[in-house]
Amino acid sequence: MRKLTRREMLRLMGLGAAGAVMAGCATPTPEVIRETVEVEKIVETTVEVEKEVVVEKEVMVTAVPEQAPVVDVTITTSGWPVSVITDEAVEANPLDGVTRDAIQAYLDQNPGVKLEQKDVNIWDPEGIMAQVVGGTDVTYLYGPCVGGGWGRGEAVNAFVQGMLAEITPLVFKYGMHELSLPHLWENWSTNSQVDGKYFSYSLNEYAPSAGTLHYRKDLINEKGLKEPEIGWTWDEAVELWRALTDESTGMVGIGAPTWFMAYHLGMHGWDLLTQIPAPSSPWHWERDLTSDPRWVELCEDYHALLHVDKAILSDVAIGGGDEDWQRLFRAEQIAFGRFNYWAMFGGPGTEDSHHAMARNLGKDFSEVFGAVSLPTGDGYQLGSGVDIWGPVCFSPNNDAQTHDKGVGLVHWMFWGEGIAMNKQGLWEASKDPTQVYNAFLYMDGRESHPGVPATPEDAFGEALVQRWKEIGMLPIEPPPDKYYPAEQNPSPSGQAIDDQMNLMVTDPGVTDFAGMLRQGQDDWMAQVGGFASSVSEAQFVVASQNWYAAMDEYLKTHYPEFYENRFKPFYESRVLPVIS
Amino acid sequence: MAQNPPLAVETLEAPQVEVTAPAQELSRRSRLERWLFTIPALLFQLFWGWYPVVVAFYLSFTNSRLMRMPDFVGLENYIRLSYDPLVTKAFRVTFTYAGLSIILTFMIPILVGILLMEMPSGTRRWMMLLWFLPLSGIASTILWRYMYNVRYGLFQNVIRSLGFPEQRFLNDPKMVLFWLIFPGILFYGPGLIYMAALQSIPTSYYEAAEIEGASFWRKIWTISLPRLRPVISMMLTFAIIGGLQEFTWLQIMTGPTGDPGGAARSVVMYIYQPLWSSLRLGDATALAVILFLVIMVITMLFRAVFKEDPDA
Repeated sequence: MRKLTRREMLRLMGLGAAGAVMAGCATPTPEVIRETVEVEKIVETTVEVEKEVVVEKEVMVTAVPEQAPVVDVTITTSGWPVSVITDEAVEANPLDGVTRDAIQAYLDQNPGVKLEQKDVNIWDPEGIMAQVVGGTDVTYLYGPCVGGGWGRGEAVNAFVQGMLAEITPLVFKYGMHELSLPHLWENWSTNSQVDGKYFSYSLNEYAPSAGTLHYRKDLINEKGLKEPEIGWTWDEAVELWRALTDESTGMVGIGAPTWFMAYHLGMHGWDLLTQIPAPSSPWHWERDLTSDPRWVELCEDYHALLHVDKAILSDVAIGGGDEDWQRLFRAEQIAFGRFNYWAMFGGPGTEDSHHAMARNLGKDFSEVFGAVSLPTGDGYQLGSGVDIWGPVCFSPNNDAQTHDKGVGLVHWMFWGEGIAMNKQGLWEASKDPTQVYNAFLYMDGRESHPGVPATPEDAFGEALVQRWKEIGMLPIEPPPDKYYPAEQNPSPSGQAIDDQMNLMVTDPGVTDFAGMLRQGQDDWMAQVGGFASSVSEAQFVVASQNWYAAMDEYLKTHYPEFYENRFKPFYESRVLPVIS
Repeated sequence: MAQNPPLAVETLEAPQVEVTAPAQELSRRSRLERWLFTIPALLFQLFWGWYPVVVAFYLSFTNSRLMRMPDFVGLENYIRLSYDPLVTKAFRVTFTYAGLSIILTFMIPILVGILLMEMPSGTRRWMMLLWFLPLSGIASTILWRYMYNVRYGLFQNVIRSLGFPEQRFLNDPKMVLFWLIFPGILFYGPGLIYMAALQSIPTSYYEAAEIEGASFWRKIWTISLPRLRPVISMMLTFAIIGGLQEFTWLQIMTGPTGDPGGAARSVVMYIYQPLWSSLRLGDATALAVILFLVIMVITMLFRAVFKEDPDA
């Protein structure tokens, strides 16, 4: 065991004495805090002084635990999730000054810690990947981009390859596991680790699920149509999109990137019912897209919606990102769009936000916009209510102390006193609830902020807030990652299958859907011939038994129609025989 | 009839003159200077040119990971690629794109350059300005993407107003490569290089040809094109290499996966997405090495076949 130095011993004694007095003392005044420094100096130099200090002076020491020892740490950021706010930025937008004060409060309490902003684009997968390797990245990273994409899988891939730092002790040191609502912690915790090692820290704010659609409530009402409800079916969705499509005005029911067809099939259980465990094969998985005629029917239906009814707009030239689609959404060219939660509430001050559109229309936010979960297909709901993870990851090029202070700052700004300071300051400076609530679902369960009399309902309307909360309460599907060991070897992509779906979407002349599915399947199976999993056959079998059993229970409980008609026959005929 | 005496055949042997540069010993200082001037370029080429190539060859035989030491895996990456039908597809797209691109965009600038040279100099300057106007690459790419939009794009509206059937543009897997090459037909900046080469041909050649009664096309065939041969050879080499390496234009116009359905996904795009993006670095490097060898062989064949000498 390491011996304590004299200095450490004295400090501990000082803190101990202070702690004892703290319990009986009133909150220290700022003046008292100023004295703290002096006392600490005395403690460091003479024992006698410490003895004399005893009562009066240690009141001020109550502030000592909040002011960490001086360290020389530079946290670097690209501007997310915290930024260095300049005087010019504050001049342009005085509300930024509030956030700057909250960040500064953290830096004041952590002497020696500096926050620097670097011109690094962490949202550019190829760029940031190279910067991480070259050591020119920043402390805060968005994990999926480091792994080359936008999903959790890419973040895991990056972490497994050592391109994201492990921060397990810090997750527990700062205590988000105690602050989170238990069910949210369980979900976050499962998704944010690999084999017990955590690779990210949460922003507290979370989105219910990426599987949601935004719609123009005003346009639906204008046509006298019924708004969708949670649990609506694919058939109801199709009917509504057809009714909204109007060639005379150029409006289309839904705007969807070309990859939305995979979503459409996913809404009918595509991934679940086309992946077959094959424990004895090197990769352990096979794909079967052709045995079940239901997939051909669904492909034909989607194709007809695109090219006959023209109720779905897809175009390679529009691309797969959200920006162009949001522009069409605002221009009333599409009535539905697949956007994420943040797109709805962000940027109240900017002219390309949902807020600005509502303002320009002279309507309340809740009169213009609605949100709904993805429609159910064959009784199955794709997208759990909560499927949260990360999202703040950390550079492997920083040392442990930088990670500590970096996590500390995120914790301060999103979980700790910083968020309270920031939100209260924003309210006092703007009296605008939309400035305060750019998100209103928090892992720690808070529904408002101290010192802010306004609520999210004031900002966005009760119905809309309630709708998001309901989406957040949809049951959570058992995540495979909780059951299967992390894959260490290169994995095949789904590109071969995606290519065929993309052709179905873009080519109006397609007729041989079965042939295209077969082509996708054959190409994928050919590719898989070159891959071998790092998971042993025995591990895979056990993991599969557990995961499928959990899925069996989950579907039986929540989606019985899908369970009886689709999953159970598949499970019994294709899965159980190979994993039993 | 008096016969002329046979002509004496005389073999004249040219005196063997050994032409040698005056033997000059370079001073120590000169030798040093020579090395000092050479070393920076040599180091640059070594580190930024040859070192990456050598490393790439090595990495293609490893299970390369970005933050860890790679392990040697032999031919595993190459074998995995041999299983992948999308690699074959990407090569097919690449060759088609490069071939079409050379056919459609290579000859036209030469002809336009020649025609421009026939115009009065004032008109020529204006035409050059309009045709070879330098445009920002990314900005024009994005503009073209909007113009190809099947619903709101400029081209579709023009086609509709003329009463022609609607086009699918970038959504048509059979035509996507043509539509991607089409802007290159209209705007081909390197045409300026031909103009410069044409201007360097002495006018006396054309004047002599005109005196002999050569037609316009005859002059092109016998004077302009042969004199342009060295430039054409160089430009064609660049065009072949550039066409086979195409990435940016395809990526921005058709997205990271070369939609529709990979019909516009070149080999470099496949190296990048999904191989590089999913951190399959060994596979990505192996495919890059294969592409390097393919380009090298094609370029060498071309250089062997194409005669650069205008008088050959």
